[in-house]
This record gives sequence, structure tokens and C-alpha cells, in this order.
Amino acid sequence: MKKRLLIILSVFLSCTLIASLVEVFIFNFQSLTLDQSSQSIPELSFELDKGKEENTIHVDLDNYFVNKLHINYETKENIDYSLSYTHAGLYNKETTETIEADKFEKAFSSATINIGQTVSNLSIKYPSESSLKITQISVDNNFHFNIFRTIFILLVLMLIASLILFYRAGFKTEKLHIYFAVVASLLGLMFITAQPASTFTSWDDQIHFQTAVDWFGGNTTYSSGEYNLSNVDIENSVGRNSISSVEEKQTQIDYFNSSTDPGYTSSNSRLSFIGKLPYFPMALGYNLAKLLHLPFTICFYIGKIFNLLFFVILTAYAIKTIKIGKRLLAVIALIPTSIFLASSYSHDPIIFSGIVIFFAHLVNLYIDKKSRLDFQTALIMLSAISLACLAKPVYAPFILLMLLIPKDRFSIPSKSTFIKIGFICITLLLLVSPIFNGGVSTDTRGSNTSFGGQLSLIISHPLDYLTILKNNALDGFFARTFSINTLTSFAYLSKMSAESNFYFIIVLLLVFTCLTDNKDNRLSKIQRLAIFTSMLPVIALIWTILYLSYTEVGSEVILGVQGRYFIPLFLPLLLIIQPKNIQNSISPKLLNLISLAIPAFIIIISIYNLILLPYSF
Amino acid sequence: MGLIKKYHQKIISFSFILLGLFFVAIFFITRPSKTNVAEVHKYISKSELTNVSFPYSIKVPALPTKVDYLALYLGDDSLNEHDYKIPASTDSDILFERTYTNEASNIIVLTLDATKNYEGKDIDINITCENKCKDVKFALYETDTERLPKVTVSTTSSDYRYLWFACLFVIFGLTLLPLSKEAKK
Repeated sequence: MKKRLLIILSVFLSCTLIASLVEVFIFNFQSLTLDQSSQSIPELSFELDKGKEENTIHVDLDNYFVNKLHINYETKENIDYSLSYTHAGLYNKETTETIEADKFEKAFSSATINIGQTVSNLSIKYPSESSLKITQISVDNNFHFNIFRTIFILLVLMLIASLILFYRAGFKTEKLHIYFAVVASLLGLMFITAQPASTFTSWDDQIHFQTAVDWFGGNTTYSSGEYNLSNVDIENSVGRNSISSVEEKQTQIDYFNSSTDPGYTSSNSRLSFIGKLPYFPMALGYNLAKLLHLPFTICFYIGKIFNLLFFVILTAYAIKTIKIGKRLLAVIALIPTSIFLASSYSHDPIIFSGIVIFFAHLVNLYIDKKSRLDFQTALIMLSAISLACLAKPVYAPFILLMLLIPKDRFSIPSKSTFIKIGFICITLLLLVSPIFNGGVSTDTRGSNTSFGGQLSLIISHPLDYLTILKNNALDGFFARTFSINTLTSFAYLSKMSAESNFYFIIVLLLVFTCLTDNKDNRLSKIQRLAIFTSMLPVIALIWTILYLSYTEVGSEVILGVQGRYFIPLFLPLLLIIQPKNIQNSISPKLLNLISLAIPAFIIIISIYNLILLPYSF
Repeated sequence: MGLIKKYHQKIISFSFILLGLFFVAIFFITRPSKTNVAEVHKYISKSELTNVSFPYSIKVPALPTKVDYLALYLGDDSLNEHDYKIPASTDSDILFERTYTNEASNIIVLTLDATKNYEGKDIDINITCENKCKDVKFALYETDTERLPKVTVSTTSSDYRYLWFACLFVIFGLTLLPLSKEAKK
């Protein structure tokens, strides 16, 4: 134990040293080697050209190296602008690059853009009818130690070192849950530190963040950060607009950490205590940090870290428990979208963990004659699936699969009928839980929606609704379930489309693991059919809930269904289609390495290109 | 072996059942008494509207007796997310602005202008709403007190949630109870 701790400590220290050296000598190489003639320019002269619809600011740089461009400004509203610069491209050909869709944020007074080129001239365009006033433009070629980038490099090095150590230790399948926990934690931390310190990065995170803030009781006087990053006043909140450099990220952090009181006191959440349980991990982390009077951004990050930790621990438990498909479960949990959600303010990680824990025990009871449904197993299974269903009750039909557990698997077979009636009652109670827990409401972001109106329409025209359901759910099944938006989407953070490159690798990996991790899969045809049948009402409920709450009354197209709702279905789906007869002679050690290393490196490269580079450089 | 360690599974099962029964007690304790409604309030009007556009005006029909206060119940699916206000203005007969802020106050008391006698006259109440309010239900009662009345119009879904908790915990406990065994040394 002592030896292991020493190894971990020495690995950590070595990685920290290497990460620092990489940051200084690779990412700051140009700043260190610049000659006197390419130093920073504190103030550039510029010309303002006023146009009818847009104004243009011209800056002549005469082939000067520009690492970062600082713009100081004053504005009363958020203003979209574009920046174009001309530089010598490949073969010394004059090339013009344009950065579109950036904003001068009214809450801030400076913007920083990363250029890193020798620029001959640049121009900034913005609407002429705006209150913008540019006060200073400067070139920054100084040395900057970027802490976010350094932490990212450190985490990458630690992940590589971990994989090497695990490989040397044999990469045993029995310890796959530990390997998964380490890899998933490191990947999640990379996501958290690379992202802007803001909401509106993941789906509905501003709503989940607000629930976390108010979890221990409403009547909270919100700080500046809480007010602007929650769902209180989306239209007028400030400071969360697009960040395009580490300096802007730091400005954002400083702004949210400021003690300006926006004068808002929250009311009690409409969710009941039980309905709020899926938010407990992020609420616990955030409020604990707040209790310690840590700065807002640290509290914000700790909330995400707690959510990640709960996901990792619960999923690792499921991997440890399940007797077949351990590797398959690890790969599913390492789908880029899964890890991204686990590192955000979201209750999807709890839903996923709850369902996989449920299925881990269920599958064991189905296939292993020595497994018993005893008190502990039943408590864990029911608690896990209930926790998932409190967030989204659509998964409750899975509980009915417990009716197929053979009588002799019950620790007290004579009472199995009574217990199974209990399972049916719990399923029904969970299905109706939103009515009592404040979860039923019309989502007013959808236009002209009405829960009551839509429900009346379905009840009065059931066959027509079934046709709409069939047209949307059946025809869109594969498009939604195995799409880029399900597997490799980072919600609102993805500025580039590069994630599509890795989408096919993830699909191939899922297929490969499904085919190779089939040892001991003794699920019978009836059990496979039952699992498949239980998925049908779940899928129908997912589409129906969104039809009721998010779609215009009478529409024939169901809006709002997102691929992430289907991620918890991957494990049961892939287990039931897994063929029994394919054999492979690849060593488990290599298979385990592939299962963890491939998604890990895909996530690392994606985070670097899609999140770190645009937001934290 | 201690008793707790020996019987911990049964203790957990019975704890679930007891917790469920506790919520049944909470439901009956906090549930509004219907008899109070008849005693304290006189029902005036009730309407269920969908797709209401705001500001919305309620016209209370002429009352046969002098009324100083009205109790207004407002409810929709997601009360907390929207801000309903009954402003006080010259267009309204309401003296003080009232705002719904959370579920606990889905009934509020409106103070009428005591210098006016509303006997036999219509009363105008304007309701404003921000942030896309829909599917409003309201009911209006006459009351003789400025204090919040003890009762609500009807038992709302937020009251029945205690029954739901009760069912869930009791069934959880009953399902686990047959599986619970004494721990062996």
C-alpha cells in the first residue's frame, strides 16, 4: 500500500514537472524566442471607418507578429463583431482569416483574441448602430503561464501514465472498474477545467444549476454568478457569452466572483424533496464549497466535480457487479457525450448510473444460477432505478423485467409472488411521480405548447397519435440513438464539426466490443425478447413526454427528443443483440486496453480541439 | 451480536413502512379542512382558462353584501416559474399590489378599497404575468380577514404528494420485508 502511494506520488510529481516544462518551452516557445523587434505593443494606432450598416476599424501592422490582440472597449449592449486579419500563409501566399460570431460583452471592458501569426493588417467590423467605443488596441507577445492548459497537459500525462501502469499490472478484467474509475475521473476533470466557467455549455445546465443552488431551501439571496448563470433571467443575464481566450475566461471568472448583489432572492423549487434527489451530488458539492466561503467559480467547479465523482463511483460499482459485458459497459460509459454530461450540471449521469446498476444485478440474476435476489440486491436495484426514474420516469417499465426473475433465484421463493406485486406497484408509482413531484409542466421554450391541450388531443385521437409516434420514433430511431448528437456531441461548446471524425470510431468500437465481450452471455431468447419488449414502452414514453411538454399542440412532428435520452438503453440493447457464438483469441489484457484507451484518446483530442483551444488558450 | 446488527434488514424494511405512515399523517395534518371553507369563505366565481393572455381582467359580479377582502386562488402547472402580480392602480379596485412567489402562497388576500362600498357593484381585478404564463386556474372567495386563510380551494397536487410518498415508502418496505433475514454470526 505504501509502495503504491509512493508510485502514485512520484508519477504525479513527474507529470506536474513535465506539464510545466511543456507549457513553458512548447506553448510559450515563440514568446521566449522573440527578438526585440517583435515585443508587445501597448497601444496600436487605428482608423475608424463609419459605414451605413457597419463600422470598420483598420489596423496596419506591417508584418508584425501578433500572439494575442487585446481590445479595450466601452459598450451598453452585447455587440457581435468579426475580426479579419491578413498574414503570409503557406508558400508565403497572402491569406485572410476571419473570426466570426464573437461578442463584445457589456459586462466586461476588454476582449482578447488569439492570433499567433505575422500579420500585415487587420480589421474589426461591428454594427454601426451600436454604442460601442473602442478605446485601445494592443499586441500582447509576452510570456503567459496558462494554468488551464497546464492542468490539461498534467491530466493527459497522468492518464497515459495510468494506462501504462495498468498494462504492466496485467489490465485484469476483475479490476476493470478501478481502471475505468481512474480514466473517467481524469477525462471528466479535463472537461471541467477546459470549459468556460459558465452555464449554457450543456443542455439545460442553467436549470440544473439553479436547482443545485436552491437544493437545501429557497429564499437564497443570489450572488452575481448565481444570478447570471441560472435560469432566473436568461435574456438579461450577463457575462456568459462566448469566450475566445484564457484572458476572457479569467475576466469572466473575476466578474462572477465579484460580490455585486443583483438583488434577487430565490423562491422554493417546485420540485419536492424526493424529486430533487437526482440533483443531490451537484448540490452537495456546490453548497459545501459555498459553506466554506470559497470563490463562486471554485464552488461552481466543485459542484461539477461532485457530479462526476458520483457518476464514476456508481458506474464503477456497476462494472464490478455485472458478470457479463464489463468491457462493454465501460466503453458505453466512456462515450464522449456521457463523460461530457458527467462533467456538467446535469442529472443524466445519475440516470445512467442508476439504470446500469439495475441492469448489472438483473443480468446476473438472469444468467447466474448461484445469484440470489436477497434483501441487499433488491434494495440496491430498486433504489438505483427509482433514483433514475425520479429524474425521468420514462425508464420505469424496466422494473417489470424483475417479474421474469426465476422463482428459485429469490432468497425466499415462497414469497416471490408477493414481492413481484410490489415491483408492479413501484413501477406504477414511479410512472406517475412527475404529477406529485412538480415535474409535470409545459416547457414554454417550445412555441405554443400546452401539456393539458396536447394530452386532451391524444386521448381524443389515440390512433392518430400512434401514427405520429410511429412516424417519429420508428423512422427516427437509428438517427437519434446512434447519431453524432448522441455519441460525440458537446452540446453548445462544439464550435467545429470535427467531432464527426471520431463518431465512426466510437460506433466501430461499440460494435467491436459487443462482438468480443460476449463471453458468458447466457441470456436466453425469452430474456432477450423481454428486455427488448421492455425497451419499447420506454422509447414510446420518451417521445410522448416531449410531445406533451415541448411540441406545439396538434403538430405531426415531435420536437425536443435528444439522443442523450437513449444512452441508458445502450447496455440492454447491446447485450440482447450480442451473438453467443463468435469467439476471439485476443488477450483480455489487450482488449481492456483498447476499450479504455481508444475512447480516452478520442475525448482528449476532442477536448483539445473543440474546447481547450477555443476557450482556454 | 447486537440486536441492530442481527435484525438490520428488518429494521430497514420497517423504517420504510414507518416513514410511509409518517407521510400519511403529514397529509392529513396539512390537508385543508373543507369545513373551514364553508365557514370562512363564500365562493364567488371559478374559471379554468387555457392560453390566457396577460394582463387579464377578472370581473367579480356584484356582491350582495359589503366586502373588504377577497381571497384569490391562482394555480397553474408551474406556478413557481412565473410571476403573477395583481397591481394596485386606478384601473383596479385593489389597494395593495400582491405577488405570487411560491407554491405556498397560491392563495392570497386582496385588500379592497375600504372607502368604497362594493355592495351591488362589479369589482375589477387585473392580473399581470411575466415569463409566458399559461393554463391558469383561479377561484375567488370572499373573506373577512386580511390574514392568509387557512384553507385552499381544493387539495392540490402538492398536497397529494405526501400520499404518493407514503405509498412509495410503504410498498418499498413491504416488498423488501419478505426478503429480510436475521444476520447470522
